[in-house]
Amino acid sequence: MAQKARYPGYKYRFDLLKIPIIKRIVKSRSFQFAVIFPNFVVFIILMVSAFIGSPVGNKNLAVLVVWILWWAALMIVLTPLGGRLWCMMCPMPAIGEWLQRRTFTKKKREKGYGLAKKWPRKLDNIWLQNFSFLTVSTFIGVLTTRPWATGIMLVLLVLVLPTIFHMVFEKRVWCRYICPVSGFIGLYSMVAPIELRVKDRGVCLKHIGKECIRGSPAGYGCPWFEFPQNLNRNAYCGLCMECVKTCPLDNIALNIRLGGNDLYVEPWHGIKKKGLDEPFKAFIMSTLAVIYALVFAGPDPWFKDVANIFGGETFSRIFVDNVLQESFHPERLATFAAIVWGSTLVVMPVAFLIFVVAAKALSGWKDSPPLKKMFINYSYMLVPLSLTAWIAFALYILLINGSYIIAVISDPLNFGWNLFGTKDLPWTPIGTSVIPYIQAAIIIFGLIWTVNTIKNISKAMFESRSKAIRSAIPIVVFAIIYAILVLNVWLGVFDVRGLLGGLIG
Amino acid sequence: MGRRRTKRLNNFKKRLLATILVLALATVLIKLSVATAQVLEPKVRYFEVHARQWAYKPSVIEVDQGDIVVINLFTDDVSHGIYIEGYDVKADLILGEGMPSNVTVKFKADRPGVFTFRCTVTCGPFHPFMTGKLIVRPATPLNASMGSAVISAIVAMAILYIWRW
Repeated sequence: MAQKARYPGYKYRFDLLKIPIIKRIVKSRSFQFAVIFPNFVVFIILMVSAFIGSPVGNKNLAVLVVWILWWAALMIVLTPLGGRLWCMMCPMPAIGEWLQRRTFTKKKREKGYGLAKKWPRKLDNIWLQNFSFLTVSTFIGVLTTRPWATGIMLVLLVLVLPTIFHMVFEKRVWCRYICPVSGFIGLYSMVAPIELRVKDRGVCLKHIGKECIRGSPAGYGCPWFEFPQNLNRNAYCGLCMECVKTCPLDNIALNIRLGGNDLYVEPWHGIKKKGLDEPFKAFIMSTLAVIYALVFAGPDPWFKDVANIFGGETFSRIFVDNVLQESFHPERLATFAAIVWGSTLVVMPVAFLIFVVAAKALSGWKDSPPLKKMFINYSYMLVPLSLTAWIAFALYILLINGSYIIAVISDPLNFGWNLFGTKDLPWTPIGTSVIPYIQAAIIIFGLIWTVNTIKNISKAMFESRSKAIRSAIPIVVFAIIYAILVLNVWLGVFDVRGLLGGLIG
Repeated sequence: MGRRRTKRLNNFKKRLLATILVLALATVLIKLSVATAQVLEPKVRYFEVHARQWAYKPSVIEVDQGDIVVINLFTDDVSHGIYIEGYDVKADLILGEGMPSNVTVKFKADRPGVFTFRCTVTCGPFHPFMTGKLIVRPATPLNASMGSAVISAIVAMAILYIWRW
């Protein structure tokens, strides 16, 4: 029989709030406004640039900053090292939250604007975030190459949709349940070396006030619908620091950590159960890391053609009023949508299921945990593996195309300026002879990390060591196949034909 | 205490054995590779590559290590160019009166591996992602699997270490 889980602990933890200056800063009511507002201004500039800047994607500030700089910052630095650090400073919920609270910084007693409806219980999961990310991905070929498309996306995601949701529902429903970015940040934040937790859960359990969820004169109740005393994973804590302000017992810690067990534990100390929404987020991210690499760096023109749902031969001829007029290809949209949705929601999960069935069979069909539980638990091994695949992708795009950004910042609005003297900087790819080695190292590191994760997940599910090892073998094989696939997409290092030729010849 | 020490000693022995096995495997592969290495006569390999928005035809070029590669680039629509990552060779094909109808890049493919080549002239929305692959096959077929063998060995060793038997 499957036994009670055994969870590995931490190797190192240090509470950053022990440093007085950090504690003073995050306890200040102006803190969140101070980190959000600069980004809000930047995103407004990007929106303006998207519509009035150069109509050519690789000469437009919005396209370059959003899809190269911001994406790389998220995937390489902010999420792997800071978890939901971006959510702390994200401008998307800004307008809605300011309206909800009727203030930029203060804690007001009177009711804010909006209907403050409860979010439906049935939607207390990240399925909508999965679908919103897939929707963005369906149009990725257009979004990353057409400034007007990036502009429309920014207006919708930063100004319109979050504000509507904030005005209809209470708190940060947008961030917690809908935002396409929040979903994958939450997933990957679970391996980040930073966490917000209570110092002593026993203190919280005895305390009646529960200001962290109810709010107090010092701050608002958790806008992310989290209950700090139950926090045992990073997934849905937006690091807004309201609980640091409201806790009267000074029982909140902002730890930097080595280790951690977010990927192995049941949410809220078992009060909540893991569903299929997070595993499918992992399937979506791991599959799209490969598809994006094929579209944006692969040699096969077919992938580029189907991802590029606009354009074609018309590009060379038609420019009207500085706006690119292009034909729309619904058949390409249908094909690419089928690839994106089908591979992430059907192909990858089914392939993974086959390996989980093998894992269950190897560990003893009757004496192992239910298949669904094994499927869900083992799927978290894709978190470190796909994160490193995304880092390899983002790093490549940044180093190859980053010089476009240096050129465009001198004339961000296409007014003919040369603010920093870099306007005419030619395209200069960086490190092309070493990038493959760096990518290989990142992916191999990801595979090793993943094997360790599989081991820990397996140990948490099985009391018997031998069953844990037997069960983990097919999952390790799956991880190795995925790593080989990613290595091959980027580097072609596994030359199967060459190997066969060597053996035969 | 005694049992723990014995267990540690056993673990150490197993890891040591695994390390020796993996190193032996890597050594055999390297020896085989060196033994079968041949000095190939460099050939001049000529390719006529046609560029269109946003693809090259052929999109994959395969040569042997040591070959002299000549790529003659034509365009089927607008201005394009070619830049080969890792080799840092580049040529722009700009359409216009008095401009050449094709350009040529020539280089010695002395580094084995897979290299992306990409457009250098802003040719439309998908320009930054207009790419192809240059595959430079290593001097011997066995060498071709060396990369994978070494990587496999590293991974195998890491897995053996991580897994506390």
